[in-house]
Amino acid sequence: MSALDALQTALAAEHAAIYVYGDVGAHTSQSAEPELFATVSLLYRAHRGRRDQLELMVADRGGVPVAAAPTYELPRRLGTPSAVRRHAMGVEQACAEVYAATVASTTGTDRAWAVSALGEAAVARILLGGESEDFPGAPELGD
Amino acid sequence: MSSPRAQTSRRTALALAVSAPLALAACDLDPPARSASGSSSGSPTATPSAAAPLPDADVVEGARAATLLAVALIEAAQARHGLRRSGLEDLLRLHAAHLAVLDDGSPEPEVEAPLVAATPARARAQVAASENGLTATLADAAGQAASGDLARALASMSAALRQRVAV
Repeated sequence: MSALDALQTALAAEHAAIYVYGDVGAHTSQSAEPELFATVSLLYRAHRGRRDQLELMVADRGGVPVAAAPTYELPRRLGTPSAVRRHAMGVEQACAEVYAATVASTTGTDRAWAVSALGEAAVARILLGGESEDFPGAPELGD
Repeated sequence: MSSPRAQTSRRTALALAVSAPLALAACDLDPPARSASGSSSGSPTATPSAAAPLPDADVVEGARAATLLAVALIEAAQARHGLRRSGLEDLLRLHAAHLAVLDDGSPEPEVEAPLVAATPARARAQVAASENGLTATLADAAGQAASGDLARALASMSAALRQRVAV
């Protein structure tokens, strides 16, 4: 995969993450679950920031940033805080794997950016109450 | 007091290496191209010739040495202050898993544990600082690797440490 393709894939993953986090946020009560709401809001902003950065990175390399899909598949039930956390962790897991692949397909400043993004996705898992991992984004290395 | 060394974890790492070696230093992937500016060019270059030295041997050795140094400090802190059941076992297990992946069959770098702080609290802070430093070292190593797969593994190891530091 070329570096530009890898960046486009990461951008597509961020589009999906932002969409899902919008739904996750809508299912999180700020009054009943203030800590979870704050975490979801923080991570939503982080994904928007990375999306904006990726769009610039793609354009700087002569690409046309991939657009967001009209819609994404959402879980039918997000009625509990644990379901919200679980679903958000799934988003972070997917982003971590995409960013790990981005690291492998890039060099220089692009790779440094992807390394940082992978670390942020890994920490997001902890912020959401998840367990730490041995190889975030590359779980097969632990097999 | 002599400085304890990371013998226990070395044994653990070697045992794990038998079951799941990745042989990262073999660099069997096409590394991404590097442009003059250091950014991605988007197309892979030819792999090094068989006669050339492995391009990532220094990167792997550096990552192993840094990880072994972190292990040595933890073991020294445990030996001096008895820091059992303090979360350090999880770090030792994590480092062993990472060392297993980095095991390319070459001799392990020799490391000496640094002096441990005089109080348990300061020793814990010393370990935390060491882990923070290792996080950055592995991220830097990921940036230096010619092999994309090695870079991915090192970045993942750095991310795993970031998770522990974040707790």
